[in-house]
Amino acid sequence: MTPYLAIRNLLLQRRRYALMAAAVVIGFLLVTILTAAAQGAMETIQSKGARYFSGHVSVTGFRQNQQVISDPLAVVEAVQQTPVPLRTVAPRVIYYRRDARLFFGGNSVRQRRLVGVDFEAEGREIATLDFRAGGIEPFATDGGENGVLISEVVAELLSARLGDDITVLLTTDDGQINTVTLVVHGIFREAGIFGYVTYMRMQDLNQVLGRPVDAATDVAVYLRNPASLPPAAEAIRTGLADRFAVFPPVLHRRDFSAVVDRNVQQETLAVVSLDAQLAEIRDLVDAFLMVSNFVVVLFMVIVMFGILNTYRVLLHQRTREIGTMRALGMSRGGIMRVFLIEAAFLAVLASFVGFLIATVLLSIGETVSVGTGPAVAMFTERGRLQFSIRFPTVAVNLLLMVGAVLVAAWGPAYKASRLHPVEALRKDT
Amino acid sequence: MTDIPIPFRRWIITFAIALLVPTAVPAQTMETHQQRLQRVDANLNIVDTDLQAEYTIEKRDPGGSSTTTVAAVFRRDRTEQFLVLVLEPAVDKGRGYLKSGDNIWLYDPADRTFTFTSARDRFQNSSIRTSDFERSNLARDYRVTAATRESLGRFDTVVLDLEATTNRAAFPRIRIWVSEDDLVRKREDYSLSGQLLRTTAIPSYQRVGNRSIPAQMVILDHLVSRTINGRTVFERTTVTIRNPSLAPLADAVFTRDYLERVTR
Repeated sequence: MTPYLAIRNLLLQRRRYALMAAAVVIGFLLVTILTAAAQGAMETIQSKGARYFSGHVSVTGFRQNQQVISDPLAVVEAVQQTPVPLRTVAPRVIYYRRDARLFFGGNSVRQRRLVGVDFEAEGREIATLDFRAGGIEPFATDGGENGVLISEVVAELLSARLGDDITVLLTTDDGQINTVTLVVHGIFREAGIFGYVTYMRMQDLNQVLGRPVDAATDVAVYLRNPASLPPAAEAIRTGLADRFAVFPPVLHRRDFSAVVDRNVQQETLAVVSLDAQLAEIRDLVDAFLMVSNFVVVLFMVIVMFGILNTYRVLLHQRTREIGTMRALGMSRGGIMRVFLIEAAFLAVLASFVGFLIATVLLSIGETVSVGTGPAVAMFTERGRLQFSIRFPTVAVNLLLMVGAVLVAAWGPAYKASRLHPVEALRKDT
Repeated sequence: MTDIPIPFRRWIITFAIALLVPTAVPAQTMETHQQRLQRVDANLNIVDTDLQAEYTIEKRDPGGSSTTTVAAVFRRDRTEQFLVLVLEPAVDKGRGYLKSGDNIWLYDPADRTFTFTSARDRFQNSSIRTSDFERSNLARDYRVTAATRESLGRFDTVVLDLEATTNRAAFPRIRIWVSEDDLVRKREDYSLSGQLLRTTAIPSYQRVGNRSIPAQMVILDHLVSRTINGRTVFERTTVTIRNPSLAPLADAVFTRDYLERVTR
């Protein structure tokens, strides 16, 4: 009966509640946009980071100060046997030394890393790069031999175009300088740290490093659901521990040296989640989230005060109605429940409207190009901001909004429930 | 060919053989060439005292601008130490490269920090490698794989193909042109895959006491090239060595403290 009364009152008094509803709509809209932007930015970085750092979870082998996995297929198989839902598992060769340089036309660019990819296994992940020219298609055939994928920023620095022969200079495992000439098969748009990486076939990188063609340093693990990385990494680490020597969990990149002994004599695997790899960037996003949360809290406080005052006025205007309900036998608790349920319904409905408007605005926002500057490009995909709306986050936001409205409505509702029926009926409003 | 008289044909064959014979160096002389490398090292290294000189390094981009770096170089070959202190340009003044033991430190006066650098790193982004300031260790780090004779301008030279025997060597393969006085007149540095990386010409040496020190070196970087008007132009680095002195240096010169102090 009480919920029915509350909804009926809400609909009958809709004009009075319009201002309150507007405040909640705007509040929820803002909250949704801010959280979707922050989550979208993090997911974009995760997607870029996964290609750069060797999947959502990377498995790297160490032995005597060298990165090496002597039997990468066995590691791939062991990872596949873990209960973690996987999208792609592929061996990789990563050239970790920072002395790799690309040369073309009188220009040179230092690369942060060279990545040798098994295109058969990992091709579909690399294909998600935003290619400005070419792509990974040549790597599916023998035509991809001695081919290379470089970023747009590197191509500009080298003045290189698709089909140009560029020279890669690096140091072999024996410490000797070596060079190889590779043909540019693809130029992808990427900036920041993710822009200074060169992708090529595993076999080609191994050859120039003087290693067996099927050698690997890492196994890249892409998850079906990258939302919960640390538990997945731990499950993979535990699964590998049955067959291989593994290091303790690495939770943050800065702890890497403390946990991983690179000079270990027996080949030992380090399992690192993307969250740990991206800890510094995550700190940046968390800082943004903190600022946005502060704005959200500030806005909610403003909404709460608005609701508090609106409710005071509303209840003052409805004193006789309260008196009538009390005279008809409704208890004090019943009066409170009616008004709180009214407020809750209002909050839910207005939040829903705010959510719908936010969804439309975000869809429009995703189509707007925000440029390709290095600062922006790290958080954008194909030059556009990505927004992510996750159900658990929306649910938490909704609970917070309803809670804030209920807290604001509590005081006036309590005061209304304390009114004496006779005095309330006598009141001339 | 049928019209050529037989004596003349014999003469052609004899001349051809005569041309080929001096260039082919028998295998048993490889040991001799290894000794030649030792003599080259002995000529270039100064083990009984120290070397101090001013290096002017002019880098000219292919078809582009040029930059000049002036550095004071202090070398102590007997302990394999060196200190290179950048004097010009003003923006890099005080940067220092210190080799002590197996480590090469790069000192940045801006934030007063030392970082490790490699012997293979480019010096001030030029074609010079940090290893070029080290003493010559050809005999220690390389073995001769082939030798021929060749005229190089006014010099009769022995051309030695060398292959690195240790990871310490700056380049896995090099080719040097050694003149009769056991001085390197030309050098080519190759990558492991055989790609030519650098060509260095040392047209003249200067005598300091009874030692020979290069007066000028011209380095062409084959990785940094551009085709201009149908001609391949390489990055060219010219090194001029002035004011060489063999006066003994204080031990303190080859320390991090000195580098920090001198740049203040």
